[in-house]
Amino acid sequence: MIRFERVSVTYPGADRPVLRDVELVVPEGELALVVGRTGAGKSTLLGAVNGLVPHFTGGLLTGRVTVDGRDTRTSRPRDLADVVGVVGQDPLAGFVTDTVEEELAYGMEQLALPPAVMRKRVEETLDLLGLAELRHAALRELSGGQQQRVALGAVLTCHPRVLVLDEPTSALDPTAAEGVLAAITRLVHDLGVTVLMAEHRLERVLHYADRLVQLRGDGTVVSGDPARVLATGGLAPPVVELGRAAGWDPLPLSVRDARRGAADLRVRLGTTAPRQTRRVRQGAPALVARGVTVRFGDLVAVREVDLDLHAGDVCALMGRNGAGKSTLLWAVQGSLRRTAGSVDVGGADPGELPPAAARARVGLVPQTPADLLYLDTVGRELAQADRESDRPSGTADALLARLLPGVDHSTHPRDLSEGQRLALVLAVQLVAGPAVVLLDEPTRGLDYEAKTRLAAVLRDLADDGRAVVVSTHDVEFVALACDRVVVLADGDVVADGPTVEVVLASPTFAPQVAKVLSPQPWLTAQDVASALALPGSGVERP
Amino acid sequence: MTLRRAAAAVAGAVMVVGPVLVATAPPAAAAGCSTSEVTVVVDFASLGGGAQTRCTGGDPGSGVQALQAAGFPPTRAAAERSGYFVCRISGKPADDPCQRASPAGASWSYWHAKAGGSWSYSSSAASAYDPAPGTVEGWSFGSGAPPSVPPPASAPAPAAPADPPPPAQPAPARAPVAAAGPQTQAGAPAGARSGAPAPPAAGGAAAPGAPAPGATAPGATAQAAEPPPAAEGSQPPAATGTPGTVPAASRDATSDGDSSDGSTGTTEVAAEEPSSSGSALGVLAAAVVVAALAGAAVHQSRRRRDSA
Amino acid sequence: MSGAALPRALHPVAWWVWALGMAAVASSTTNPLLLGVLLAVVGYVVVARRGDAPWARSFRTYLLLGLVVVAIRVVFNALLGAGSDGHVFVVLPQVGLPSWAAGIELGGPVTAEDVLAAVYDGLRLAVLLCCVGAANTLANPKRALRSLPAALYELGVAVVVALTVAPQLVESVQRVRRARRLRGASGKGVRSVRAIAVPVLEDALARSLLLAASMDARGYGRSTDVPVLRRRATSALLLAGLLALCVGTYGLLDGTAPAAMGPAGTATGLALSAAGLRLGGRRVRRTSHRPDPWRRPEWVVAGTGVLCAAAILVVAARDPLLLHPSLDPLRWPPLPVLPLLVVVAGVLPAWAAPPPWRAPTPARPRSVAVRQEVAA
Repeated sequence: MIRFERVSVTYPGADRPVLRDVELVVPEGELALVVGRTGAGKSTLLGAVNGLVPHFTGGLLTGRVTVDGRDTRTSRPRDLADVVGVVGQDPLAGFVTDTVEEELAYGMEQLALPPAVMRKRVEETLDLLGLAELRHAALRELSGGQQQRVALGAVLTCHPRVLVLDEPTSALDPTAAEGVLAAITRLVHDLGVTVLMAEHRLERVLHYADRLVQLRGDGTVVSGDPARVLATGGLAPPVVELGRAAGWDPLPLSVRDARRGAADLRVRLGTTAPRQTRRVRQGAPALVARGVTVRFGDLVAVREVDLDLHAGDVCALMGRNGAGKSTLLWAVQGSLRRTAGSVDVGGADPGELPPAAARARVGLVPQTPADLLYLDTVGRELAQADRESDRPSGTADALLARLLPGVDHSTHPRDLSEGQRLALVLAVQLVAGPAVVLLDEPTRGLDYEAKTRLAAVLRDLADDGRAVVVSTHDVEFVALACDRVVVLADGDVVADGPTVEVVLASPTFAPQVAKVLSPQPWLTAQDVASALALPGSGVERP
Repeated sequence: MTLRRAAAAVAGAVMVVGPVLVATAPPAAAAGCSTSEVTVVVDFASLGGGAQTRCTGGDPGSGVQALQAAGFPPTRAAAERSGYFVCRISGKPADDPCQRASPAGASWSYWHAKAGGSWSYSSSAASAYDPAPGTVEGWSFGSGAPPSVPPPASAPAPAAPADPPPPAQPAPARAPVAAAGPQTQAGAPAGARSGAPAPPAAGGAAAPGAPAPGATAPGATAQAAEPPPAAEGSQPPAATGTPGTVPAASRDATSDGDSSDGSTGTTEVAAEEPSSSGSALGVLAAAVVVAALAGAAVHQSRRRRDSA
Repeated sequence: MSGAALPRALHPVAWWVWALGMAAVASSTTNPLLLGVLLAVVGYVVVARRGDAPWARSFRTYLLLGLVVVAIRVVFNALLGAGSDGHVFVVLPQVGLPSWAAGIELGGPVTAEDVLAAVYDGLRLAVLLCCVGAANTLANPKRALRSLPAALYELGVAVVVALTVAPQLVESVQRVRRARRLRGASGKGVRSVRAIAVPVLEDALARSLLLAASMDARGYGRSTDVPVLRRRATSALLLAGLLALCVGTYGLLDGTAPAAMGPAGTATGLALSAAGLRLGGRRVRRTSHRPDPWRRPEWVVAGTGVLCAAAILVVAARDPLLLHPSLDPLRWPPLPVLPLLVVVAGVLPAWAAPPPWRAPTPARPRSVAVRQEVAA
């Protein structure tokens, strides 16, 4: 169905090709997962399937890409619209109309299908994706998961043979992501659609994949059976890391596979307890929040939340979308007006201080870090940050080098990768020297390596004596980085305790390693690996 | 009466000859009004009536008042951008609906000049400009050319009959002034006018005053810009300030084309009145309609809100 | 109940024709009584037949805009009006201007005539704006753009996208302003304009590229191959039609042009342009999912607009002074019967058009509610 023959892609102005001599065949009806580091060329590969690369993005493509027999050299993306459907990361950015029904019909209108056919297909798609009660809803009033399903439906109405998905679940909370992935797998299994999907959070999708396409980072591509490809190395979800650490062959791709072989691993680990690297809370809290309430008319976003943050702790704030995580962080920082309650940081209430003073006590990195950046180059941003906080020049520079070395100061901030941008904004906020650092969903769009690096950064900040709070959906990241978890639902605190306790209490939302090795309290594959490496722990791992 | 007619005939003859002489002679030949009044020259051009010159009989407060005082009742209209502009003088052109600015080729242009000098285009609006006594105001209909007559020089100390009041003074001077420029029968009336006061030469505003009382009123109320004259005829002698008196003299209802012009003007203006006048009753009726619709709208929106 | 029409949305073009007809009536008179009644008529139709969508609540904005227009006019006339005769009711201090600005008079006495002239004229413009606003409130602007001829399809899409993007831009600005506080700035003042504009514009640019890629991938812009000759013919027809329209419009507006130039030029221009549009429309092949029907209510509504406009033009031609009350002398404006009937007849669509259709709205998810409240 999809065939890449010696395809190389070079963007204008680049000195190296992004893709080099790629040979890839995806047979009909398969779900192929594209994995690789950020910047390895996943988007380019996906774009080449329907001709967006090079017709839309520009660049030089050598070789041949064929989809269902059609060559992308002679067919432009709009000509391939009846064969290839593309769904991106931000569904709202791709919507052309106002309501769900109109959006579903839009693609068919462009293909000039007769109205009777259009009416039928719209009904089918509404049923297929469970959108029937939403048909007249305004697109802006839908939740993230609903929007992504509408985007999916909008391309499905054209009955494409191939579906290309570029990180479809990265902006969604776990429940919504499950809904979208279920719809996709149903398409593959029921309708025989060929799906090519790029995803960072492999733990969600790996067990559905029939084929793994791994981008090595030097432009080459390895494709084949997932277990076999992963055995050769590369980024992998925790369950695969666990398999690698325990020396399993073939590597397990899902929790179910892993549990089958986990019995003797549990025996091997025996009574070894996970290394307690987590600090115990001590001393006076850096931030005391009592009864924080935020109301918007009838809607109570945050309801009488009490929170104590201690220096040296990395605390995770979890909960589904709409639970009030962002609202709580903004209210604590002082930039969002609280309806009631008190916040005390070092003797002052950040909500009553002017912004410059508030940020010297509590620093917040928002969900879209790029909102804070407005200058041409990284160097200028750092210099501006020094000026804003009245610090000697070079402070921000040093901070950034510590967080993420190797960032070129002459790059435009928009040209940085997600992880680099996050580091830049974090450095800018840290220049003011706050005692409390809050991060709102920093893990979106980060691959495993970047997440590990971020976890190390947060650990360093905590060791420096700051209190760090991270709001996230990513349980694996929480297991890796955080000492303490606070769970919010509907504006209320539902759980508050050490990571091990809170995260292991729920069988559904526990990390993969925990699910595999339960009832033993293991959180990450690194823990297991380090335990196995201890002398006297039983059979040495090969 | 007969005497008058005779005088009119003589004046008419002079008038006919005059232009020929004057046509070649520069302004100096024409005599204007006294230095304590403003001369108003209105060139009707293609509207018929030629260029007429009259005196205001006093110091008018603005160009519009000068027109009224001189016996050329202006009709003003609201222009689209701001303020007023004069769209008709003495009711001409009658076919201009005066709802927006007159077309460029058929509008009244406003000129100033020193007595005996040359015309310069006015940079102020007629209601904003206060003409100094002794100067000349010019109005010309057409595409913006100055009036076809040059600004008359002011008259020397008038050899007028013992009529201290200004109204009588300009009268004799008017004959030569009126003579300037192509005249049709408008000339005759002017002559008749000038002739009329002269013979009577009665005290006070008697002579012009005689026909005046009836006609003075129009002038006096010209402020309100409409005719039926009130009986302010008694005022003229004392009130030099009332420019109305002068037009009163000119608005001689007794004779000729010009006053017929005036009267036609009056009747024309009067004719407009009924169609553009309203009463509080109309406003009330409109308010009732609006209130009914508003009430219905409120009722509709409440009903929709309840059923929603 | 049997005679009640089924609720549905009227064809947007019908609403626009009616609104433009009312606007033509408004622009032909300065009589404040007639204008007031017209405004009430338009407002009633809006309240009776508007839908529930967010764009249907914008009429209030237009009313406010009209008020602003009148206020600006009055202030300007009061300040710069050159009237010193008339009923003076307040005297502003006069500001002396250099001689080269002799035609302008700042301050000075303010006459009732001046102010009323400003009110009459401003009211006319305000009612005109409200008529256009009524069309926007009653007819979904995006569906109206779908009714454009096929040859102008891309233009319509560009406008639709702009309309869609505008609220996102507003949301972007709010988000970035909040983020400015995190950097210690107050979010206000001239200096922060750059800091707010740059991220917003960069965001908008990135979004628009995403949108373009998405539309391209969904088949937007598919055009059947047309022979070169036909394409040239289309361009030639359109250009000629446009030129003829220019000539015709000039002829209509300039009084000194030959009498035949106006109508002949406009008619020729319209015919040529229509032919060009039809020819060009063959190139774009697309169908409509649920096209708006044009039935009897549409004829009635559109017809009302056209007939009212025609009637008022006839009245204006016959007796122009009826529609333009004079302010000199100052007296009550008249209420002429025939124009009043024409204006009131414009309220017919409030009953002729079918009742507005209300979509059943599902509950707003909490995540959306919180997100929208925080962003506000």
